[in-house]
Amino acid sequence: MRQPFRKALAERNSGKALIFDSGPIISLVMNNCGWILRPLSKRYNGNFYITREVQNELIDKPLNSKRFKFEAMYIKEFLDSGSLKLIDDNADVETNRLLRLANSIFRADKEDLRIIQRGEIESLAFLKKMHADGLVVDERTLRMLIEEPLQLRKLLTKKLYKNVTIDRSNLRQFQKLIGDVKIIRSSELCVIAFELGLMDKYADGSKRELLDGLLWGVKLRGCSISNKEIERVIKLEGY
Amino acid sequence: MEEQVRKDILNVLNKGLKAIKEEDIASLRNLSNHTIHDASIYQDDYSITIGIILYSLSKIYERTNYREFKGWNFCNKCILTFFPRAIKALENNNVEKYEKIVHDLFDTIYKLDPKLRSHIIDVFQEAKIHRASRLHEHGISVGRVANILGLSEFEIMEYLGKTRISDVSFGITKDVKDRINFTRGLFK
Repeated sequence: MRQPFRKALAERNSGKALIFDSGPIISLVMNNCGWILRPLSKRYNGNFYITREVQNELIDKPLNSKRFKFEAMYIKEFLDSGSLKLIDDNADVETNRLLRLANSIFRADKEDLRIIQRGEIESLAFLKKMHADGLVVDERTLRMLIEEPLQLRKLLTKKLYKNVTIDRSNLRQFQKLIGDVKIIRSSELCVIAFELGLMDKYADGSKRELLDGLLWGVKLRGCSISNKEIERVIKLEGY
Repeated sequence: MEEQVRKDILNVLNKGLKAIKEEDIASLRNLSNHTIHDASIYQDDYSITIGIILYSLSKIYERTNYREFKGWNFCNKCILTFFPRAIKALENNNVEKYEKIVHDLFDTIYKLDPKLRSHIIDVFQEAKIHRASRLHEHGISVGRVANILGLSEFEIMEYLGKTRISDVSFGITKDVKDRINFTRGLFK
């Protein structure tokens, strides 16, 4: 179901919105729990959105391959049924501006480090435009850029064995444009699904094991949650 | 081609040739890792391709059963001649010739006996995904890496799950308790 931007914006004004990057949908689907998007979107009382670039990565590209064709069909059904909605606008000025800034914050060997792809930034741009509640993203780099850019610099320096510098003016502009962004991962969605009892049918006696299996499942499918964080979540849930 | 990239590729080619002659698989794999830094910074085809070639060769020479396949001698000969030709082209700063030599190496794969060809194509595909995970480990986003290497994010995510990248302490940003509390608030 296509969702022209103005319509999406109008809907946003009368409800809530979460913007999804491709990663969390991949992690959930590959972990056999993509279906939780349906009850969660109802519970949320708002809409789960993806951008056109994310749709391309999740559906259009894999539909042309053998390997992930079925996963693409499976995800497409979420769009068809309205559990996910498409923001049909990809020529956004703010995306270009954010992309240019994001990819010129860090420098090594006098080169700008192009660390982020357009699709990832597009989700961020729409998050701001639609005043969405949060960005659902599983991959580490974008999360670090938004939440801990100085830590990302340390990581780049350590890994590249180079003196990575920060263009503080670009960083400030980037931070000013994005404002306060709340990030959640597929792992947090799994925790909520667990708390709501959506996974109870799989518990087989031990809810602790269910939660452990669920979180390790998304981790092993690419969600950037550490094993220490998983242990902590299990403790926080009282197990 | 950036001058730094040319120097770095020349260096790894010279060391790579020596490693292959000595069947030093570990060195060959380490050399492929050396190209990751340039690939992360410049994101140029040269650094990315040579990294994929060296990693693939380390796998090809590691799997000694490949030597029993029909066409192995031809394959081995092509690899051994690739290095000096590529080195000479880069020493002469002839990037066009270098590109052709790399192209010829990939062409060689398609001239191999079907069984060996199929294995080697698989090795190169695995090498691409492995390179993708290494670039991500170096701080490049999954989407960017997928774009650079022409891979699907499904393939990369699946591979990343098998690595320990998400366990690196640098990657932990906000407290997971706060993140869960925030998410819980959304689904009240």
